[in-house]
Amino acid sequence: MTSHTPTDADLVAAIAGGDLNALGDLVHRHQDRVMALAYRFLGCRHRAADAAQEVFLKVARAAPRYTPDARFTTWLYRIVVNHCLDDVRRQKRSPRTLSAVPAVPDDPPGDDADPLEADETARQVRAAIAALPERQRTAVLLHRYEDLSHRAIAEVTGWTPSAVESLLVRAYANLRKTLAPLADGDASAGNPPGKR
Amino acid sequence: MNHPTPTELLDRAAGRLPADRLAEVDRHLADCDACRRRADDLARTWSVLGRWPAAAADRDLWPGIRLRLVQANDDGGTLADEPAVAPVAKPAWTQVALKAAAAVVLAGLAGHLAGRWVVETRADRAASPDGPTLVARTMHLHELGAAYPAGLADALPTLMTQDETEDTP
Repeated sequence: MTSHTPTDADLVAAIAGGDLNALGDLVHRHQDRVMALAYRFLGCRHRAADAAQEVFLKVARAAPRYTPDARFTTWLYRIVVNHCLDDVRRQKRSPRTLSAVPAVPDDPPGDDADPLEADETARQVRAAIAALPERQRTAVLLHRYEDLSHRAIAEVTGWTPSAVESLLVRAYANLRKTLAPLADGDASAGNPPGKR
Repeated sequence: MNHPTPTELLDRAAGRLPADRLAEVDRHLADCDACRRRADDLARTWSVLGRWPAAAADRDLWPGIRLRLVQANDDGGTLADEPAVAPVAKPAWTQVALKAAAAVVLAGLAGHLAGRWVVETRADRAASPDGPTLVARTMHLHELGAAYPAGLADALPTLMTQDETEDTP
């Protein structure tokens, strides 16, 4: 007897047929990925968790329209990106009250030796990315943190591959300027480039 | 060889440049200071960006999602009732523009109806006979002129002559 692990497409087909357990399996399989990307966009764990829930509800609603000719993760990323961009725009139109802003930094602890330095570095990186124009920010988040190729980013966003390449080049040039002090510190400390 | 493109340098920093092309680019960087500086800058930026840690889900999202699905079913709704992707809320200025457009349409409609009422009232007035005409119709004067091609005006001299003759003893 062979055990068969359902593919993402199998699970989506089952969800379209009303199988709630399939949705549970899909959530468990992808919740870390969705949560991580939502957090990068929104910069807040609570909002990211809410957004991730909404994303999976949207997946359930849209399941009957999913066609397996597109990779499931591409489709999922598209829903995450659209939802988070809408969330960011809504937030800009109606900013939260001061009481709703977390008093402590919302960055998860990194593996650096000095946690304070790690938080400050993370805060600066997050601020630099948040300051990018929306399309550059989207391209960088998918490229740097989700490890998507230019072509995959184009499929997620619906932009042309050449537009994605142009956005990435400009985005990294902007980030290089903004983060130069940190990058120079890395170089003088002898940190190897390419560290993830 | 040609200088590597900015996209190739990006792919190199991301570790996605194909091995054969990577070897060519690295040979070029060994000889080209400008390209090597750009490549080093990109690699450092790539590295710094990696110091923003990811946030994994610190709790299982499924119970909350399941609860919302159950509540939706209890309310009599189904998932299919809701749009898969919420429509993007329109900015405030479009709301104002829509209200202004609605006001213009309503004003135009009111003007149109008022204009029609005025025109119809005038037409009704024009169609109703004035006093002398009503008296003439009551007296059937139009029948007197029916035998004459020019109507009553043509008949009157003849009729008046007859009357004078009949009245004369």
